[in-house]
Amino acid sequence: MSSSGAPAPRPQQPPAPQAPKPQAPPQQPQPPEAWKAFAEKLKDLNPVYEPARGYLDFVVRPDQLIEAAKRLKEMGFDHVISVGAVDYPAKKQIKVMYHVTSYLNEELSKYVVSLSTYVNRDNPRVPSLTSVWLSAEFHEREEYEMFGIIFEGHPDLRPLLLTPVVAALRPLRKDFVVPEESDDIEVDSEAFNATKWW
Amino acid sequence: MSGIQVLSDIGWGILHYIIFYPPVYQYVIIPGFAAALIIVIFIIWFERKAAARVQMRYGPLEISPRTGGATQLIADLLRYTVQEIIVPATADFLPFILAPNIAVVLALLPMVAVPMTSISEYWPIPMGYSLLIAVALSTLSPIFIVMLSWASNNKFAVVGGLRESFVIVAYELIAVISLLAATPMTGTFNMVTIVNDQLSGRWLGLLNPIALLTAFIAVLMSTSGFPFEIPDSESELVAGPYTEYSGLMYGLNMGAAYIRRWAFSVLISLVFLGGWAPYRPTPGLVTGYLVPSLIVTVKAIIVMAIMSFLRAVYGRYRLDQALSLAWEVMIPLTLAAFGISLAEAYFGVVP
Amino acid sequence: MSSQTGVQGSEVPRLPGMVVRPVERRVYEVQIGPAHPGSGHMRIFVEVDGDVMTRVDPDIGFVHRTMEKLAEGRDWIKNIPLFERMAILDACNITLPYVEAVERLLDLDPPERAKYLRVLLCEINRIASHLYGFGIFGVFLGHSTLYMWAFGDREVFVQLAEDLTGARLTHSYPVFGGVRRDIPDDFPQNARKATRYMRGRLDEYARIFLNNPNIRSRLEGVGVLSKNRAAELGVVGPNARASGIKYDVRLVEPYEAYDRLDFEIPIFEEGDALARAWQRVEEIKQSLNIIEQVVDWLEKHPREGFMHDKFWKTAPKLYRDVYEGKIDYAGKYRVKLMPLFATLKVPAGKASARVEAGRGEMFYYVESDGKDVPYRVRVVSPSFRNVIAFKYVMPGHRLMDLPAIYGSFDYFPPEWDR
Repeated sequence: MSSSGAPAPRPQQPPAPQAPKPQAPPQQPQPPEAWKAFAEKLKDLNPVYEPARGYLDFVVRPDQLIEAAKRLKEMGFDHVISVGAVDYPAKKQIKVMYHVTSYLNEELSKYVVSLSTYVNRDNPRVPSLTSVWLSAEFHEREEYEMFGIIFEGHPDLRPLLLTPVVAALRPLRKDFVVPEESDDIEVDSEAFNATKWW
Repeated sequence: MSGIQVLSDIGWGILHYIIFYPPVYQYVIIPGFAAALIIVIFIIWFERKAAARVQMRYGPLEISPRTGGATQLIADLLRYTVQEIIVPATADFLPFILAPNIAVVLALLPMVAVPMTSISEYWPIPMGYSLLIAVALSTLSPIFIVMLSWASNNKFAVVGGLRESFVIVAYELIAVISLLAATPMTGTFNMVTIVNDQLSGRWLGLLNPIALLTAFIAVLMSTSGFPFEIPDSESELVAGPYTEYSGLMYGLNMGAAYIRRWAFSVLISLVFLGGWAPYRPTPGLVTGYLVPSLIVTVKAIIVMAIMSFLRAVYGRYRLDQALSLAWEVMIPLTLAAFGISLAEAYFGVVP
Repeated sequence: MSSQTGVQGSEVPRLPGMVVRPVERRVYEVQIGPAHPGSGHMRIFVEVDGDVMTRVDPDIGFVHRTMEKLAEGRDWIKNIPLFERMAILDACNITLPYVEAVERLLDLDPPERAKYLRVLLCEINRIASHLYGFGIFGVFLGHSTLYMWAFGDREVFVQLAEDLTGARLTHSYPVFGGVRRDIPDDFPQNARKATRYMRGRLDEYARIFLNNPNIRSRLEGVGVLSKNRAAELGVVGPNARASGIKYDVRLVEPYEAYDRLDFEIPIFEEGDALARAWQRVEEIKQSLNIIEQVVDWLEKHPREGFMHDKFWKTAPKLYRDVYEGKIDYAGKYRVKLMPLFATLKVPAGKASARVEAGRGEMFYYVESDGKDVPYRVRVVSPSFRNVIAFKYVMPGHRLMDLPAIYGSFDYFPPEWDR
């Protein structure tokens, strides 16, 4: 049950009927029709296709991010569903993904488009897309505190869910390991008695 | 003299000069503290039970299931009595402690100015201007709620006190004018005359229902009854002005609103609902004093029960909506009620 | 940067750990704090100028349970009970996108009957969630009757869910390949009784709450969100549909059995708090229709295929005996979890799925690298996407409108904190 080779048809397909693809070389899965239609608008930004099920993934460079976002917004994608980041310590990169869809344009509502970029893991700086999509504001704050990604141009970049002490540890990175506690409860009676004041 | 005669003399003395001495009787027993506390306990229980029946549940049932949980409030009172009274270090101590007490004492002060019977030896004060005195005394107590909210030194308390002060200014005029709308029709401030006139069967509430309505709504506004439960609105300000109180002071505050409601209800039932009509008091301690006061009590309880039932029906008004209701709708209505009184007096439609 | 001065140069005593910042003279800062009867588990910093709010800053994160990090350390099947704790009232809708995304990675399509069963529980949960929202809305406005009625009527649907799944709230019902178990024999008639009862109750709600002039004056024109503003802010669910946006995941990207069912999506144009309350009432009516259709279908069709064969054929014979009712002490159709789930390894890939939960659109992004724990799960819950409305919708209203707007948006703090 591996997924290498031709991408299998995914359920609930948008209207482009998905016949099984002709046998492309296994390392280069072919993008579906809908992806190619959107990629036309982003042609000079050279988006890269990454296979994914349930959404269409466009990978651009970090400095092209705002331009690509503006083009997508002109096409009709008007709000952000999620801003997510994935940490790849082996490749020393963090992938930042903006999943967007459309409210007001009914044909585009069917598609979830992900505008992604890879940034360096040691100094992740991404231009903030709040100037394009206001709905990304709180999501970007959350990814800032979880991964340490600085979103340049964000109006209010501070930790959202965590306290600043915990956010400095950048919890969702793969090198943040939660130490396991043992099942035995260690009793420290001197410390307990030292704090009693009555 | 035999011992029995001495005892009966002492008993007669106690009865006539201590218990049924009108100022003491009216301030301490009926309609004073004793009646107020018992009625408050009963009304809060009734409110919870009636609201529960509307809301598809039982209400208090745990304490004494066979009586329907009637002693629940006594259990609550006991709980408040033994709970520790915590005074925050940042609060202003003397006003914090004194203001609720003064508020309760002043809330019952109108009760010494009202008659409970028409027999002259049972009047606490000369009754010539009793309506005016009673209405004037009823306006004394609300300022102490603002004082206690300021003494609490807590943001929620201050905001709650502010809202209370707005509401006080709004409802005072309505309450005073509505209650004084009885004067043109009977031509006197003497409450005994007002009630005696209503013995003819034509109650002032029937002749001038608008005044009754505006007085009712004014009482709701003044005592945090739904839909005007603005100062202690639990979902925004934790308990409004009463946030920092605990223990017996908390119980006192929560009861103070109901005690004020009771005082106003007695006033309404005397002025608009006929007082002790249709009973004519005859001289004698029981028939002359006890029975008329009990009739007035029953009428006041009915008024309070209607106010309690509104809890299950209404939500809360926003502050500016309540104030615009008071200033834009109720004051013209109240003045119209007063005008109707004048017109009815002119055309002779009097009780 | 710390300063010693408060308002206009007044001296403020300094305590260790205290941060002092100057505030303008007219502004009064109120914190609707974490331990407040009217705020849920969150803190709202409100700067008030007189009675009008000028700046509202939601400070969330008090119930943050680090679900995304926890999911990276647990097996695939164990994440289902983890994620449903996000909004336990809406348990099926919250875990369904996760199950769908993993099924996309596994290339599995659940059988027909499983899809209808999932839809059944989704709609029951949607009704229960909307009624919970009504209850909290009533409490915030001081209307305790609606609170008691909503929670009392919610009991009917929680009982239905208990008949179906065995647990009142913590269902964990959708699993990879299907659902956990099938409906009992007397379920259809109970469901029909429940839908009939609820229809009558909705008229009562309209009479006492939505058409109550007191409540109408509190809600009408409050918290108005225009269509373009709602699209720009990205609010989801009934809040968006009450502003005129015609978007429901059940329509734009039908999942499970929704494209075979007949229902409407109510849309309101006004976008104020009253429209949002009416939107929820209308959605409850539509959900009742869906439940009736699903129960009819389930009654007519034979009882096979509540679970994909890939997993069902690994079940020991005892499970089949229990399913057919051959064991006396075990209830009929009440099987346990398939043993293959414990060692499930999902092939590498990335998938996403979205579902219309009670409060809005729920989105999961699941990435796997072939192991038995996920590599990354990104969860965006509907309440999290509505948090932005605190900052942009509330300023300009009066302080007493804050509970009205809060209740009308149907926030659920554990859902947005994850």
